[in-house]
Amino acid sequence: MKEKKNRQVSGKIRKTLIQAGRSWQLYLLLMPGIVLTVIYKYIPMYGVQIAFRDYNPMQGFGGSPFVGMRWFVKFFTNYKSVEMIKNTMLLSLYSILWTFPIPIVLSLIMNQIKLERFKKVSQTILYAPHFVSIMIVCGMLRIFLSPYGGLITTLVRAAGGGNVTGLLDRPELFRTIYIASSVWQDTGWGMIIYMATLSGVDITYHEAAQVDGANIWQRILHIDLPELVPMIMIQLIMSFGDLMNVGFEKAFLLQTDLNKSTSEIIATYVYEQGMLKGMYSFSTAVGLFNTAVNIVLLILVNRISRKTADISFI
Amino acid sequence: MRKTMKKAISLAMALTLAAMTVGCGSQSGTAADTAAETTDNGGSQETQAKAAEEGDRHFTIFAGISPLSPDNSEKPIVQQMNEAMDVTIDWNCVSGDTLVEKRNLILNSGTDLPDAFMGAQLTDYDIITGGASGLLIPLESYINEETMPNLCAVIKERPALMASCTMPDGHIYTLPTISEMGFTYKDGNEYFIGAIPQFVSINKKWLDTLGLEMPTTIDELHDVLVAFRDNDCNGNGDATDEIPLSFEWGHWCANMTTLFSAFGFTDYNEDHRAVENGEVYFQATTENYKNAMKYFHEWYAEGLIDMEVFSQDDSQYIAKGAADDERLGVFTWWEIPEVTGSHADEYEYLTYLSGPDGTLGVNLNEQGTTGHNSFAITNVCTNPALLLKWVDQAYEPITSMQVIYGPIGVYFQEQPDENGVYIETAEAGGDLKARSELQGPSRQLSSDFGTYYYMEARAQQRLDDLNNVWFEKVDQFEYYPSVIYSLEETDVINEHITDIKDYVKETSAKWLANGGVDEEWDTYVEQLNNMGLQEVVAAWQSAYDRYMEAAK
Repeated sequence: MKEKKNRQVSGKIRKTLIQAGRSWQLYLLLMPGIVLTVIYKYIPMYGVQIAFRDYNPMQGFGGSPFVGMRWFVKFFTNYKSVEMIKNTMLLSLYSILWTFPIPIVLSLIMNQIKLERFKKVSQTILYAPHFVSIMIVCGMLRIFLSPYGGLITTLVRAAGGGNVTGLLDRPELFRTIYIASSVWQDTGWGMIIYMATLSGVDITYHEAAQVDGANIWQRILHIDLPELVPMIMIQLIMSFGDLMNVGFEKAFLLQTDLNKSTSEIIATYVYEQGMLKGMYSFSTAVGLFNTAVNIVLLILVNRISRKTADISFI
Repeated sequence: MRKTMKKAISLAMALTLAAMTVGCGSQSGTAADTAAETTDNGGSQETQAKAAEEGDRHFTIFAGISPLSPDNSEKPIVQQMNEAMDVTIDWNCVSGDTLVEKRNLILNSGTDLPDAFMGAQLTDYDIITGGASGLLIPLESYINEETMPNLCAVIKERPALMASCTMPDGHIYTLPTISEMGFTYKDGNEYFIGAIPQFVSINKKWLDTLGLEMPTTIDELHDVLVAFRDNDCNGNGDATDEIPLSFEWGHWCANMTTLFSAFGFTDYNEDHRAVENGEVYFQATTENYKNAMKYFHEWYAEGLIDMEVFSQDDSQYIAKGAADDERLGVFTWWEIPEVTGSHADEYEYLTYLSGPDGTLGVNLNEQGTTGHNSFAITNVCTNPALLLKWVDQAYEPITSMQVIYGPIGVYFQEQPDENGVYIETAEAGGDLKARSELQGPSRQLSSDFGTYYYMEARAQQRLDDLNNVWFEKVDQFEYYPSVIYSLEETDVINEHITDIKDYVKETSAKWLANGGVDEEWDTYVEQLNNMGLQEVVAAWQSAYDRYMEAAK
């Protein structure tokens, strides 16, 4: 009886192996990706333990004295921690709120443009800013927002904004500046994936709809949009997984002493503490907390999306 | 037809790709070859044989350099020092902001350690923890006539020198730097070049154009600034491009705290530390500080203060001063010409102003003549004695001169004058110094000026300005000395001080720009106390007391 079961199991394994062997080329293609992920994502996780240790290079990751939750306590009793977590969350949420739907809407519109040449040119123009280095974008922003003759400052004044000054120094405007410039920079790039999906929509759907007398609006709503939904959901899950991972460079480069009350996010703090002040254990602990929140969010959004749209990753 | 075309194109592309890869491959091959060749040249057979005899003659050094500077290996003085000791050095030179970042990474990775750190701005914390963990090796056994004769000569003249390098655990992990650029004030004491780092200057031409007097109180300055704001002082037809008062918030020499004298203090130290009658205290929680914040917020609200004081960097600041039409009415810097360029002669110093009730108080900046973080050797160095012999050359006066400024023949004239004293060339100055200096250990005793070389003109100018202009209104000469902290004190200070400084900097910036001092003051003080301010002040005090006890 037992032997039979064993044979059954080994038979199953053999079957899987034979199946795998039949498409070994695919597995071969997959290999580099798996190897890279293991080397660069999984092996370094060994170092995460310094979040619970008082790291000292001579004693190494495993040998440094164990301090338990000391660094987490230090972080949560810090006067800035609540503000930082809040800033990170809000910056991310607002970012998704604005930068997520705009490429979708724009690609739906763009898809209706029949003039191929115009479509190509405008698409190129839209995604070109994506390739500008973040350093340069922030430098430009600082110049445009300068109180003395900055382009944007002057425009706001001309548009009746009164005698506005130091736009970058105003904490309440930091998120607007950050997100508006992201929209400018990344909308075109974000459109590419949707444009690709839309170009794969079976043309006969549209023809049939036209015969049935559907106008453009109805066709977008009932043909294009539903085709996009799976892609939209996957993108949404992914961006929530990154919710707490706001890139530190931009926030750091746009930071001034006056806007710190909204521009100090976890990522900039980790950089300051770890890289500039050399407190590696502390900044690892903060980073670990950040990642933990990310994982929880990812699972949460994935679950919601599975329930509502029947699309999920994990 | 179309298909063949497509095929042709893809074939062409594949070929190009292949060609590119081949190109890259061969290129990298050549690079590797050259590298191999260079190493071959560097480690000739003779030296290799020698290395076997007396240990390793090849070192790697992680070094801090000025942003304008080339790699240290290209500097004549380094080549000279290498030849004299027959050593080769691989330099890893880093400048600017990345220096701290890279140094921290190296110190904390524990791998790829260099043999030594030179001019790498090691902090006391780095030195103490590095020493405790064994990453940096103790040097005291090497500091003797045989290995370091030149350093010993300096120690003979300044017997207290090594005490400043001795860490609380009793070991010396780093070599000293000494620079005695100072003057003897009329009270008989010697003061040094950093005593007052922030000189305030005012545009005299603008004052004359508007027919105004040189202000002597803070309220008079206020009225002058209002006039600067409202008039087209530089006469370019635009009455709005004048900036009445500019500075850089939190900057060591461009901050505005010289103006705080009207409220009874100046706050030059970046830790806001001061001492009066033997009592160490924190300046940013005093009533005076509060009053100053309140007062200068009004200036900000009236548009008298540059709106970019919290975000501008040096280059933006200097661009304003040196623009074709000068834009700055009053500004702060350690001298006038560097900021104002061709407009330098329009500006004059605006010395300490008194407050509304006649208050005038100055706290001198902390001054030290010695530094102790310019050279440290790590535990991977197999031949520390030779490396120390090599670096000891930098304590020889003429070599030291070239280390601090630049080589003879470039920075100094080939031939010394009839007294044997080296004279600067016409090109000497800030830029050339930044390009040719070697950041690392050096000696500059007060007796070296006039014996080996003359003091550079702008340093001399600055000392004269301090002595004749700026010290005139100073009547409190106490300052916090270069103390040595114990291990516990270092731990306490290091744990809290960065958060405290950040909080003060941000909150004060907010008060200056938006006001609200009165409402927020109590929570601010309480917050600072929660952040461990009292413990930090106590640590400062105990180190100070120990220092004073020893000095008796």
